[in-house]
Parts: sequence; structure tokens; C-alpha cells
Amino acid sequence: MKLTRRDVIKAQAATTAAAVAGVSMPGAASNLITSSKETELQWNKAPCRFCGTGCSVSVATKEGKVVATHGDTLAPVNKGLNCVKGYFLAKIMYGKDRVTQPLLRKTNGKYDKNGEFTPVSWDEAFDIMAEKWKTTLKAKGPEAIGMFGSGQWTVWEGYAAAKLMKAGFRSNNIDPNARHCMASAVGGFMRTFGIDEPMGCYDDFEHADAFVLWGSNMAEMHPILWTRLTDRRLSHPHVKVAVLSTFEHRSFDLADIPAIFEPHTDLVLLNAIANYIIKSGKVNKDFVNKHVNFRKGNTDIGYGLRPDHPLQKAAKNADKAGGSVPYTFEEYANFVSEYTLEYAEKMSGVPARTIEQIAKLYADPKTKVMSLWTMGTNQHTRGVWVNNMLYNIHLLTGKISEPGNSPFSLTGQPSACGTAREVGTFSHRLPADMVVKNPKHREFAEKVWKLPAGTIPGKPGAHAVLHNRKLKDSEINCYWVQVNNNMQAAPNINEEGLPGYRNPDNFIVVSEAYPTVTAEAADLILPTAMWVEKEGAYGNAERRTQFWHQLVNAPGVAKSDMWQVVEFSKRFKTEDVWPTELLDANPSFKGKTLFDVLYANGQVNQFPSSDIKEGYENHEAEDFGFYIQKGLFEEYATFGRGKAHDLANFDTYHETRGLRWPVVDGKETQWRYREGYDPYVEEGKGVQFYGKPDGKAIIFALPYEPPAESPDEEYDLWLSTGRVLEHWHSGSMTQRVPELYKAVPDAVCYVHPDDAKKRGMRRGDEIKVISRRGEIRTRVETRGRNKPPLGLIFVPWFDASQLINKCTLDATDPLSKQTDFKKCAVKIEKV
Amino acid sequence: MKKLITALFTPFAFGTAILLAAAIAVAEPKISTLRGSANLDAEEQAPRMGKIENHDQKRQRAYPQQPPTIPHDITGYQVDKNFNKCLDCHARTKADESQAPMVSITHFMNSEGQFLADVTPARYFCNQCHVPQMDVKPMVENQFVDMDNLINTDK
Amino acid sequence: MNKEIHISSLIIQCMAESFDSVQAVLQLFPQVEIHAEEKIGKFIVTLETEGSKKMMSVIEDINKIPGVLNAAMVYHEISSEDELEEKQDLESLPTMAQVNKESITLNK
Repeated sequence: MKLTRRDVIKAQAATTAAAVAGVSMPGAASNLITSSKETELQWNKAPCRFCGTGCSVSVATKEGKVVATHGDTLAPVNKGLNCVKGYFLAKIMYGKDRVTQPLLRKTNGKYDKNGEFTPVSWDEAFDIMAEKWKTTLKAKGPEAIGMFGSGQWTVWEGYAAAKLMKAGFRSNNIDPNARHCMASAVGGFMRTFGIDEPMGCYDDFEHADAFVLWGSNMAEMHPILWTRLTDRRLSHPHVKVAVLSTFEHRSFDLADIPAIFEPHTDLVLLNAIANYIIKSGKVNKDFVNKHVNFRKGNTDIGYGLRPDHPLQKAAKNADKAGGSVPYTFEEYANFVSEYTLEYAEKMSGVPARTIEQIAKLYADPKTKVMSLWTMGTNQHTRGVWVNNMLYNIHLLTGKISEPGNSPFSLTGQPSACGTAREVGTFSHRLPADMVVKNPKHREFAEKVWKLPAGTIPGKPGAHAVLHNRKLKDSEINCYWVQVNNNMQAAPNINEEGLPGYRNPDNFIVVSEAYPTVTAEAADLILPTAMWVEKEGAYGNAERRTQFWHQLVNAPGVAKSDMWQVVEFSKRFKTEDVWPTELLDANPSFKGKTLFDVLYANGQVNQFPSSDIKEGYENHEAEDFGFYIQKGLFEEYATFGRGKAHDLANFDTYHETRGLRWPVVDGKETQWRYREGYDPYVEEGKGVQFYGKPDGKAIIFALPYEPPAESPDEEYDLWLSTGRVLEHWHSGSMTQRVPELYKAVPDAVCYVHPDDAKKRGMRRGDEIKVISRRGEIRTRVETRGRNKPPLGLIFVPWFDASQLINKCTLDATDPLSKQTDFKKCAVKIEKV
Repeated sequence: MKKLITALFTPFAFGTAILLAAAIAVAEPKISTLRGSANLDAEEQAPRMGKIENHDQKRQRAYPQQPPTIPHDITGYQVDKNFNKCLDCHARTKADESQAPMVSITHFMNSEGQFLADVTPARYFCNQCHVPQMDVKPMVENQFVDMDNLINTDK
Repeated sequence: MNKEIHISSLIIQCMAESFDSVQAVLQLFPQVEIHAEEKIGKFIVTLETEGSKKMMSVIEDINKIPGVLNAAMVYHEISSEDELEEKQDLESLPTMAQVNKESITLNK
């Protein structure tokens, strides 16, 4: 049979389109393809592995390998586009140095903290883990074990882990790396609205007349959302874009109103805008009267440092950081009245005229405004305050919960919302916004989990930064890290992280796909399946839950994080971990393993493996004998159904490009709290912030307070850290993709040319960046994509050979416990 | 300089690693491939800033859907809301003169699937997908298999 | 010089009730070849045109067919007329990667 090149190209074009559309090619139309099996590819959908945007990707597999990826044309989020990282997803699993089997530090055949990494079986790995865990639990109780998870956990991975820790081991010392990333956003939502996550959705991009970026560099960090914003701006000339940041970056290329402000003075700018709205008579009084309460928050709340730090000792309300008292509109108006445009200019360095331009966008009732923020706002020792104050200006003007009027908190990880937040993997939380402190919430969780009353401890566990401190202080001795690279990501590596992991009292387990610096600091490394090597679910920043199937097998004996957690639970009997009183009161639980109690509980194991869609493998179901993902998901979903967190049923998600919760009667919700969009709003209310008992959101009066550390004579520069477009987070995936590595191989230090000149430095010179805590060696960049103002330098953190978090300070927001990675004092010196 | 470490992460890759006992804050043996040769508590010389590959030679793509990388230097290119330097050569009306590849026609389609007279604003910022390459060697080999090879090994 | 031929594929979505009429109109386009269809309102077609302008105008015309909701391009390749006529044994079919190496501009 002879064919022309034309036939071949057409067949290829048609099958690609058919795969994307989910249309099967009839034999007659595709006889070329069916007669040519060898060029056939299998196409499936999966959400992207990287940021919180949640793009859907079409993934091509052939013979057990991912061979191509491209933007999913049917996906509402990205409409066929990907960013450069997304286009290279096909390569992230194929770095040559994948961890393919468990590795334990050994000397002479025995575990040794200072031994060499030696391949062991899963059995041996779990044996030593179980031995360490049991010894520690017996000697010191559940507070001496800990787990550090991630907003990259799939929904069921996070759920299985939280259940094992909170109910199985009865320890709330589980926290996700989302603590470094989203905790302040959560704090803001809970404090202002009483319920987590954005009210709006990405459709706001096509409705807004103005966009205001608060410390966010979307052009690099959320490129696909940036394409939607760019599309809106360039197609509609009346649209305005304001970009506020502490240094100039790529998002400024689209800015109509650019503003560089002195670090930390976003607090001043936001109050100045609130004051402008009030003074110019633009408060939406009807909205404020009906839907808003006012409160004054406690001030002088400290910086989340160790209690013996002078700054902590000096803080008046360090132990009452979350407190607040009722306030009136008049009192609030008076409170912000000192934040005049002139005062704001003096504090922030932004010209009063520019501040007024931005304030007008909010004040003009005809301009629909979308505010966007991520790490600049959240990684902030007053991050919750800044979140609260952003909602203040949207609430004052009533610009909220309707198309185009949208305060929008973006996320950095693919399932920061879907897993870390919604599943309740934080040390103080349970699923569906419930908290361990509340006895009713614990009771509810124990009922859903079919566990004895009193199983879940009521005391919140240690948060991320506190984990490292407790490891260093020998208070946590057994520690399990999954899906994140915290030795690179956490602040103050030299003083807290590294001494904690290498403390001889501790046993550190790291589940990883690649040998990261965190794996290097561990005692046991568990080989881990990633992305489409397992069935998964992620929830993005607009409340969209997306599923994917296992498409290829993991290398070696690597297994998913969920498999590891569930398999490990088999090593424990209730008698090993639960107190006698609890068991005596509930004798039916005696003699059972944690696996029996948590996963083979008649719910998680209720769906047979035959429910798995034909043609897909599922390595966990194969080992456990039931469709565990479905069981975990359905049990988890019972927490939120009927409580404004409704998820659709499991199978639905495999068929859609995701749905935005609450999903009620099969319908997703685009705008929450607004009648006509949100089924939870009572008829006739118009707007109802139902997270609060009286349906009213809160405007908080909060002042400017200085940052924890500012430049002085010796350490004379601000250091801001962050990401670059081409690499995601610590670079453990993207640095292994040759094209992305070659695009940006090494971190550099972005310096203002005059700051460099003053110190006798030229572009390309090797320098040390030095803080009071540590130093790195890097190169000077004076002309790159980031243009810092005088007095500030920017160093990205993706580079494992330049661990900039040796320099950062572990000061956190006292409310959210999230670290401020954007501000500390450093100096630079030529090497 | 960073060391190129391509040792397969299998059993005996650590056979040669140095054993350092007792010191608390040392995490040897070294296994983190992307860190080069410095211990976690040490610093080594930062690699020199590389040069951008500037040869104008098209590179093979890993798969048809991959956006092509940029084979030339784009330092100093103005790409902002006022002007797009890339389109100076790659626009449909300029490609014949410049002999640069024309922007793919997919880029003329807006998010509703309608064709526009020019590149869609949604794809305006070229460097969100297309990036230059530095003249450096990757630290870790990638074993991604080109579908071409998969098909050939079938035979 | 050889003519520049553009080949692309589209997903066309239409109202289910317009399926028959849309199908009939699509068959009238000499540049359009239907490869697959679903009665709920989906077509997979390929286009072959000379030059990019023609391709864009055909897609615009398809979008204007009553009942058509959307015509989205998924794949696009430019080749020369001569190349397209090259006969190939099925056994030595060019794979996607080979096609790609030789083509001028591809999808994305």
C-alpha cells in the first residue's frame, strides 16, 4: 500500500484533534491509522503538575511512556494554551536520576544516621520506620512525631495522610508546605468571611475593567492567567492594569499604572485607598449597612520568632494576635484618616498621584476591579492583615462576588486549595474548613470516620516553621516529608532546617522522585511515583476539582505517596498507638491495625477494583484490592456536602475538565455569596456572607507595623526571593528538563546598576549574599528581567546549588504562621 | 563550576561517596544531583554566567506540540504593551523579508476559535512559551524517549 | 517555486439539532475533509489550503455556518506541494517526529 505524505499528515492532524475532542475515529475515516498502529498515540487529559492555575493538559502516551503533551483545547482554564513549563511536562518524569528504590543510611549493614545511602526493600524500609515511630510514640507520645506534606499531594494522598496522623497516630503535627505559601490567604478568608477560598473565579478576567496586582508577578508565576488578562487588556482599550511591587518585573510590561513601593508599605497603601474611598464619598453605604460588620484587630502582635527573641519579648499581643473588638464605621473612618495620600507617599515612595489613580479604580462605581495577589502578600509578617485590608476596599465599595468585581487570591501549588486547604492537612484543621480545636468538629469527623469519640486530639499541632525548630530542639524525633523540598524551601536553613534534620536524636524520612537536597539530608528515602504515574485529583485556585487517570507506570519499585501512607498503617495495631482508656471504652477496636480502622472501614474499601475505568492501570488498587482512590474521595466528600463545600461524585470528575465547588444538583458555582449564582444564598438576601453567623463579612481596622528585620548600616540591602517563569518552585522537576535548564540554568542576584557600581561590582562578577544567618555565592545581574530599585536585591530560590534560604529569616505572620520570604536584611560582597 | 553528575540513581551509585561520621550538621554522602559538589552546609564557586546560543539554527523539537525554542539572543528586545520586537521579523507581513519563521497560524485564533487579522492578544507575550537557550550542559541527563525511537525499536 | 500548502485539523462543535445541515454544508467546501463525527454535534475535519490567508477565511466561513458553535484548530503544518505528493511505503511511514523535523512551522 502506497500513501502520499499528504495522507499521512492529514491522518496525524485528524487523530490529534480527535484525541483532544474525545471523539473516537471510525474505522473508515481512519483506515490509515488503524492500518498503521505504530504511529498511534493514546491521548488523555491531566491537570498540569506545576502551579495553582490548574491548566488542563493533553498527555500522549505510547508503550508505557509519556511522549508528548500540549494544552487541552477543551479546558476552560487554559483554552488550549500552556506556559513554557507546561509544554515540557512530558519530560519531568524522565530525569536520569529518578529514585527507584528505598534508600537507607547504613554502615556495616545496619542503619546509621551517618551511614551511606544503601538500597533496601520496602519491607526493610517500613520495618525501621515502624520501629522508630513505635519507640518514639512510647517514650514521648504523639507530639514527638511529625509529618510535612504538600499542596502537591493529590486530594486522596493528603486525605489519607491527615487521617493517619490525626486519627491513627493521634497527632496534629501534620502541616503542608502550603503553610509557606497560602496560610495568610486562608487566615484572611477565615477572618473576613468565615469560610475559605475565593468567591469569584477565572471568568472574572473577561469581565473586569481594571486589574490591580498586589505584589504579584503573574507574567512569570501565573502565565496562563496572564494571557487571559493580557487578552482582556489589549482587546479592550478602556481596561487598566496597575502593577504594584517592591521591584520592577515582567508584569510591568503591561502596566498602565506602575508602582514600586518600599517593602511592607502595602499596609499603608491599602489604608490610604480605604481612606480615599471614604473621603471621596464613594463608600457603597447600602452594601456596607447590609453586609458588613467592623472590628478593630489587636496590634503589636510580634513576628512569629522563637519566644526568646527580643522582638517577641517586646511584642505586647504576641499571644493574642488574633484578637479583635467591635468597631463602628465612623471609628474605622477615623482610624484610616491618618493614611492620607501624602503620608502614604512618604512611607511607600509611590507618588501620591499614582496612589490616587489606583484608588480611583476602586472608588469609581462603574469600574469593575479584580485585585490579584499571591506570595508578595501572603509571605509577609502581616500577611493576614494585608489579605483583610484587600477585602476591606472591595467590601467598602461592594465590589465583590459578581462578574469582574473580584478580590482574587491566587495559589502557587496545583492543589494548595484542593488538598492542603480543603482536605484539612494543616496542623489546626480538619476537612471542609473544620478545626481540631472545636469539639463539635472533632465529633463530626470521628463520626464520619467511624472512630471512637475522643480519638482526634483537640490541641493544634506544630506548624511548618515550628516543625524545624522542634526537630532542632529534639522535640519531634520522627519526621516524614512527602512531595516537597523543604530543605530548599524553608527559611533559615543553617540555623533551623539542617541542624534539625541532622540532629542525631531524629529519624527523617523523605518520599521523593528525585535526590533533592531534602533527600540528601534524610535518613531514609522512599521512591515515589509522580504525576500521571498514579491516579490523582487536584483543586485549583478557582475551586475547580480536576481528576486524572494513571497513564504510565512508575520506575523501579516507586509507589505513590498514598500507597506509602496506607501501607505503613498496616504496621501498627491500635494498641501500639492509642491509650488504654480509649481502647477499654471501645473494645471492638482492640487488636486491629490502623489499616483496618482507617482504610478497611467499610467506606474507603467499598468500591471494587472493577469500578476502575477499563484500560487504565492503578497500582494502589492492585495492591490493596479495592478502588481506594474512589473510596477515600467519597468518604472525604461527605464532609463538605450540604456545608457549602459540595463536591460532585467521583466518576463525574473523570468525565469533565473539572468543576468548581460547591457543586449542587450537578451544577458548579462561579460566584459565591451572590443570589442567582450561589445556591447557598437564601432567597431575597441578594448577598449573603454565610460563613459568618449573621451573614456579614468583616472590615478590620489594622495599622502599619514595621517588618521584623530592615536594612541597617551593616546589612544594607533588602533581600526578596521568588520564582522565575521557567522553573517551578525548587526546580527539582524543571531543572531536569534540558530545555528549561538551558533557558535559566543558575540563580543570579538581580541588583540595581548603581548599587553594583557603588560596591565595585560588574555584571557577571561573583559575589556573596550575606545575612546574619548565612550566605551564598552567586553572580551579579544588572540587566535581566527583574529591575530592583536602589537598596533591594532579588534572588530566585529554584537553584539547589545556591540555597538562598540560608539567608532568609524565619519570621512569620503570627496569625498565619507563614514565613516572610520577601524581606530580610543582607549585604553583598565581591568574592 | 557545577559538576555534571549523570550517575544513575541505582544501588551502587553511592559506593564511592565519602563517609563522614559524627558531625551533626553534615548530610554526606552527597546525592543531590542538582547541587553540584558542595555539602549542604558549604558553598562553592558560582558558575559563570553562560552565553546565549545565537546561531539561528532551528532545533529539533522533542514532539510536534513543543513550542520551538529561540535560536538567537533576545537581550534588550522590547516586548510590552506598546511594542513587540519579536513580531518585527516573525509577523506574517515581515517573514518574507526577514526569512524568519512566521508566527504559527494557531496564534491568530482567539480563545473563542475565531481568526483575527493579527496575532491574538492572548499570545502577545512570546516569551511565556518561547525561550532562548544558554550554551550550557544540563546537569542531569533526561531519558525522555522520542516517539520516533519508540516506533523504531518496535521493528 | 513550490506552492506552500497548509494542512490543519479542527474540532467543530455545533448544536445537535443542526448536525445534518452542518454536515451538508461542510461537504461543500473543497478544502474540507471530514474524518470523524458525533451526532451530539462534533466533527473532526482536516483542511488543506494554499497559504495561510485562505485557511483563515475557510475557518471563518465554517464558523459562520448556522448552528456551528465553535471551530477550533488543533494541528497545523506547512509543507510544499511537491513534498505532499511523495509516495511512501506504509512500512516506512514518516513518524510524527520525522514530519516535524522537515516541516517549516507546526502547531504552536
